[in-house]
This record gives sequence, structure tokens and C-alpha cells, in this order.
Amino acid sequence: MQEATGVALLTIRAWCEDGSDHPLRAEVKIADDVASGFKSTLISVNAEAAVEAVREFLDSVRCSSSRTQIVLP
Amino acid sequence: MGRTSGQGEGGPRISLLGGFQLETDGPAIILPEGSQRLLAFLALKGRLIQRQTVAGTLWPVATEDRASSSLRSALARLQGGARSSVEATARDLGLSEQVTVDLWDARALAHKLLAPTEGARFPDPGPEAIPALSSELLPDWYDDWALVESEDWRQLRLHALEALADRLSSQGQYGDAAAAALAAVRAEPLRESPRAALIRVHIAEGNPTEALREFTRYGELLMLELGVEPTERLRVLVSELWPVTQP
Repeated sequence: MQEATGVALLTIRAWCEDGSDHPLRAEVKIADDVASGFKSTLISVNAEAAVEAVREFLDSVRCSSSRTQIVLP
Repeated sequence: MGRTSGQGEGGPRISLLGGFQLETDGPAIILPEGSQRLLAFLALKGRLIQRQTVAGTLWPVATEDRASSSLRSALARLQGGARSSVEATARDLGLSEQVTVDLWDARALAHKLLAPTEGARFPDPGPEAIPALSSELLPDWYDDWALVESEDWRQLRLHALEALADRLSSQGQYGDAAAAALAAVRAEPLRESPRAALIRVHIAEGNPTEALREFTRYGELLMLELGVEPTERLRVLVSELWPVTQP
């Protein structure tokens, strides 16, 4: 909830499931514009997938005079 | 942990769980967005905060003058009962003593459930405990300060729901115990500990079929979403149930 819109947001929640063969859990949530709320969510056991989502997000913000819709894998 | 609501019965009540709301004697008061954010921030802090800090936190991208102006505007637009909910000095802002906040009560409940000694002693938390611990803090608020508090509350309430499920289960209240565990599962479908809590309830109730069904459901979800299997710890929890249900 912001007064000024036009702010994109990415959050990562990460935790470990001890005892799992792949213990990392990374949940990436993306809002193209916080006024519209989170639009995409990715949950992965793979850190690289989370990093790639961050990279795509930053690229879209940098390049989006026309507001690119981000679709996570 | 901030204040508790004990001293302010009968005064204005701020709700942060499930969304912002301010109630006084009558119906909920509709406030402008800036005023809502101000009250929510003060409610989350639960103590006096310097005006400069409040302004800088709530309007982080504005200049100092502009942020201070926005803060004055947010204060000025608190009318009637809403105005009396704020204690303002030249330097600080906070909520007045008579204000109660649902989050304070819910946090106190969660901490009692999680305290190793106190948890066993304090009275039955009652049917309101599960909905209180199931509610998100300020959903759809994206301010940094709100997101951090929201995550903090999420972690606390998940642990409290699991503790509540175990407590109710040990008292033979299996229906409520399952409801508490399910609330935790709904909040974190992929996390293992809420699912383990639910499976423990089914086992305690003498319902191995449902315990195994839950285990299977979770395994399928994990495989579908993450391509992994449940941990050895969870498999051990249900390992002795398989022969019971096999023909």
C-alpha cells in the first residue's frame, strides 16, 4: 500500500528443510507495480532459478518504459 | 514484544490482522491512506517514535520537508475518535493508552503457546485462537516496514499454530487440533513442519488412513512443485502406519 505507484517489488523468502536432499526453499514473489499486488510467484529448491528470476526482474525494470509483464517459469 | 491491549479496554481498537480497521464506539472509521499507514505503523511499534523517524519511514522517497508535511497532513486528517487514538508531543508520536490492537493480543497468545513452561499452565485459549493466528498481517501492504513485520508475524503464528495443534491433540480435542494444523498448512503448503503437525494429530486420533493420505498428498505436492520428496524425518513419522492400512 503506497501513495506513489510505479514501484516494482521483488521479495525472496528462503528457508531450509533440514533432512531434505535439496534443503533450500526459495520463494520469489514479484509485483510489476505494488498498486496491483504480487502477480508472480516462483518456489524453487535451486538458488540459480531464484537468481535468474531476480535478473529478469531487474532487466524488466530497467528496460520497461512500457512495463513488461514478467512471467516466471 | 510490544504492548498488550489490557490497559485500553473500551477505547479505540485498531485491527491489523486481515487488513486495517479502526473502530471506536460506532462503526469502523474510514481514514485516508496516509492516516491509516500512520496508525498502522504506530500500532506495530507499540511505543513512542520520533516524528522524524515516522516521516522518514512512511515516506522514504520524499524529501525531509515533504515527508514532514505528509506526516502533518496524515495527523490533521485524523478526525473524531481517530484523533484521540494518537498521543503527540513536539518530538514524538505514539498510540494513546486507551487504544487496543488486535495484533498485540494475538502476539501475546502466540508467545504464551510457545513458552515451554507457561504454555502448559495458561488456560485453554478458546475458539478465537485459531482465526486470530490464521490471519495475515496487513495483506496487500507493500511498504518495507509492513512487509518485514508481516513476515515476522507469519513465522510466529506458524509456530504457535503448530504448538496449539499439539496442545489440543494432547487434550483429545482432535477436531480443533486438526483445524489449527490445517491453518498452518494453508499458510505454508510446502513447508514440512505444519504438515507433520497435521499428521501427528491424525495419528493421535487413531486415524492412520488419514495420516497416510496427508503424507501422500504432501509428497505429490512436493514432487509437482519442487521435484523433491519428503524428508526422512517425515517418512519415519508414518513408517509404522503402512502395515496397519494395507489389506
